[in-house]
Amino acid sequence: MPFPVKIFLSVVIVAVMALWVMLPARFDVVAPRIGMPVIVKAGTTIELSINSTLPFWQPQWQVSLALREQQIPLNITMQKADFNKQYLSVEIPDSVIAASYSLIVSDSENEIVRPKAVHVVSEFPDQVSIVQMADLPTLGRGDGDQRLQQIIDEINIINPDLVLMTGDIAYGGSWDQYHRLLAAMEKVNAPVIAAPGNHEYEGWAGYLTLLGEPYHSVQYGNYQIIGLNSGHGRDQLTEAQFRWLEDELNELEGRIPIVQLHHPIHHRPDLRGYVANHVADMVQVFKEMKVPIVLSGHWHGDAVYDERGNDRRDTWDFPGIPYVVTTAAGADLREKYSSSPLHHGYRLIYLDKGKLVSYTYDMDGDGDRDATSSIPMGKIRSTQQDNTSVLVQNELHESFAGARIQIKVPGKISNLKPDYGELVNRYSDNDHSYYDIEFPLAANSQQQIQLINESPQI
Amino acid sequence: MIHYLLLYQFPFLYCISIALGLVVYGSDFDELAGKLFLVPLFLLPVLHWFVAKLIRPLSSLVIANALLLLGAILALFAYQKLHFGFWDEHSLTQTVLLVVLGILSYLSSLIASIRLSTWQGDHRKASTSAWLVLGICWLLAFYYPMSSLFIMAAIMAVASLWPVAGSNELQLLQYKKIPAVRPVKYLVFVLSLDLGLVFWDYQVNTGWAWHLGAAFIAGALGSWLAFNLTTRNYWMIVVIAIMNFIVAVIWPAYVLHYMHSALAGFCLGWSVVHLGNFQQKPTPILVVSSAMPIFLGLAMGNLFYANLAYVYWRVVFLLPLLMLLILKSRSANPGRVETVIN
Repeated sequence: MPFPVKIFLSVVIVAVMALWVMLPARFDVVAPRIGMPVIVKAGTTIELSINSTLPFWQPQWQVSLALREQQIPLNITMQKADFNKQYLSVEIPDSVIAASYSLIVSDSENEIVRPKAVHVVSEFPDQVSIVQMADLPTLGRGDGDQRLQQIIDEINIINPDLVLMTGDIAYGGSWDQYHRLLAAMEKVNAPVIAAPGNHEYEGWAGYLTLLGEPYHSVQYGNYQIIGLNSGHGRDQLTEAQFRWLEDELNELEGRIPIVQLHHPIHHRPDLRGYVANHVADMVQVFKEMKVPIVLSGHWHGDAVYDERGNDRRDTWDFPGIPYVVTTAAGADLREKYSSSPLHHGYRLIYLDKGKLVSYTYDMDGDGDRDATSSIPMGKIRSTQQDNTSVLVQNELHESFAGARIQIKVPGKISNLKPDYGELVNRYSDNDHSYYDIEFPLAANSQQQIQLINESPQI
Repeated sequence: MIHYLLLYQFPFLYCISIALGLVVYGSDFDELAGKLFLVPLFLLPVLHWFVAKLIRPLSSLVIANALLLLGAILALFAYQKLHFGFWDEHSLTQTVLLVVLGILSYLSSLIASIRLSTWQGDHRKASTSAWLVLGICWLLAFYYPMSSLFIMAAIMAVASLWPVAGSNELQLLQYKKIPAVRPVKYLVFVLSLDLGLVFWDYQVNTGWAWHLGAAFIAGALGSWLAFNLTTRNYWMIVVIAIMNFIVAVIWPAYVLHYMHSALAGFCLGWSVVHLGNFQQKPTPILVVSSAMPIFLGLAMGNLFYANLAYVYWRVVFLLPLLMLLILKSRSANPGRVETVIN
C-alpha cells in the first residue's frame, strides 16, 4: 500500500473516531446552581453558563423556570458560543412571581435541572438579614440529618433574605453526604450561597459537581456576596484566587461586598487553623473596599476580631471591619476557640443600606448584645397543632419582624386566612394545600396562628 | 514525529492527566477506586524489567498495531466517559478503565522506543515537533480538560498505521552524551514538582492549560537544544531550573507568570531528551525514566502543597539535587565529556 494512502486511511479512521466521540453532544449547566444562584427581580435578564461537548454547538436551547408543577418558559435574548462554552442571556418575564425556582435547560434530547438556582424577589430591601452557618452536622451518621433539618426549620421561621453556608457543610465529604446536603439545601426557603471548607476536600469532586465553583460571587441587589475557598492546601488562598478576589472587588461598581471564607483570617497565637497567606493583603483590600463584615467558621466556637487582629470580647460595636467566626452548626464544639458560652448555632446579621446593624446575640437577655455570641440552636420551633393551626415558640431574646411559617391543610385551597400575620402565598398538591404566613414574632414569646375562613358563612 | 509522540504520550498525556485529576479533583483514597488510580503508576517501574524481556515480540508489527488500536479505542472510550466529569464519581468502572488504559499507554510508549531505536530520521526535528504538538494539545485543554485522552487516542491510531522504517537490527542512536554529571532524573522530578504548583494554584480554573501549553512549547526549544549537549549547557539548565524554583518559593505570585512555566518547560524538554540520550539499547528505560519522575513530582507536589502551609519548605526538595550535583561534579571525568556513541 503506498505511503500516502496509509496516511489518508489514518486520518479517516481518526476522523470517524472523533465523530463517534463527539456525538451525541452533551452539555452541563455550570451556572447558576444551588450554592451559587442568581437572585433577581422579575423583568431582568440573567446569564447562564453552559459547557458542551461539541465545539461551537448551538442547539435550540429551551430554558424555563419551574416551581412545583408549573413551568415558565424563558425568552433567550442572546446566545454565544465560545468554542465549547455557551453563554445564554434569558429574560425573566415581569409576570413571574417572587419565589425560588428550579432552572431547566434542555436541547432537543437532554434536560438538566438545577434546583433552586434562580430566586426571583419582589424587591431588594434596604435592611437585609443574613443567616450564616458553618461546620454542619455529619449527614448520614447518627442524628446528623435530623439536626440539619432542625436548623433548616429554624432558619425558615426566621426567614432571612440570604443564607450563607461557610464551609465544612458536608463534613465527611462522601458522595452520599453531598446528595443528602443537596436535598436539605432545597428545603431552605431563602437563597443559599455556599463556600467550601477543608472538609469539602474529602469529597472535592462531589462539591464541584453538585455545588459548583470553589470561589464565586453572587449579587443580591446592592450587595455582592463573595465566597472564597480557604480550604485549599492547609488553609490557604491560592495566588490565582487572590488575584480573582482583587479583580472582583475592583469591579463592584458601588455594590457592597460581604465576604465569607471558612477559615478565620485573624487568630490567637495559641490557636491553629487560620488563613496562612495573603492576610495583610486581604485586610488592606477589604478596608479599601469598605467591606462591612467578613464571615468565617472552622473554629467551632464564636469569636470576633478587629482588622488589627485583636480578639474583641469587649464590644461588638467597634470601628472598622469585624472579622467574625461563627460556632459550629452541628459539628463538635471546641471550648478553647470560643469566646462566648459554648453552643451549637448560627449567626444572624442585619445590614441597613450597606451599614452593619448587628451580628451578635444577647445570650443572657440583659438587653445588650454580646460581643461575640451567635444564635443558639433549638430555641425556636413551630408545631402544627391541628389541621389549621400552628404554635410558634420563640425562646430567643430576639424578635423577628418577618417570621414565616407554613400551615399544611388537607384538601384543596379554600378561603382561609390567618388570624395573625399576613398570608403571603398559598398553593396545593394532590392531597394538601399550603399556606405561607408572615408575622412579627416577639422575643421570648409563643404565638398561635390559626387559619380562619376569610368570609365566614352565617 | 509520530513515534516520538507515541513515546511521549505516556509521561506527558497519561501521567499528567492522572496527576492533574488528583490535583484538581482529588481522589477518594478511602475507597478501592481511589487507590486503584495509582496502581499502574507505581507498579510499572517494578514490572518494567519483566516487560522489557518481552519487548521484542511486542514490537512486531501485528501485535504492536493491535495493542495501539486497542489503546486508541480505549482512550476514546475513556475520553467520552470522562471528559465532562473526570474523577467525579470515583467509580470502580472508571478506575479500571483508566488502569487498563495506563498499561496500554505504557506499552505503546515501549513500542515507540523500540521503533525509534532503529529509526534513521532526524531525531532532533522529530522530538521537537512532538513537544510542539503536545504544547498545542495542552493549549486545547483549556476548552476540554480531558482532551489529552483524545489526543492519546489519535496518536495511537495514527501510529498503528504508520510505516515502520529501518530494519529489525538494533542500532544505537547517534547521540552525544554527558556521562559524568547527570542527576537528570531528580532534576526532572524537581521540574515536575515546580510545574505541579501551577495546577495546584489554578485548581479547577483551566488557566493551567495555557501554562502547560507554554511549558511544552518552551520544552520544544529545550528539546531542540538538547541534541547538542555539552557540560556547559547542562549547568546552565540546572541553574535556570533552580533559580526558577527559588523565585517561585520567594515570590508565590510568580507561579502565575508564564515565564515560570516556560522556563520549567524549557528545562524539562532539555532534561527528558538528556534522559533519552543515555538509552543505549531499546529498553523501556526512557519511558519509565521520564514518566516516573514526572508523575512523582506532580503527585508529591500536590501532596506537599495540599498539606503544608509552609511554602518556603519547598526548597528542601532542592537539597538532594544540590547534593547530587556536588557529588557528581567531584567524580566527573572531563575526558569523557562530549563522547559520541556509535
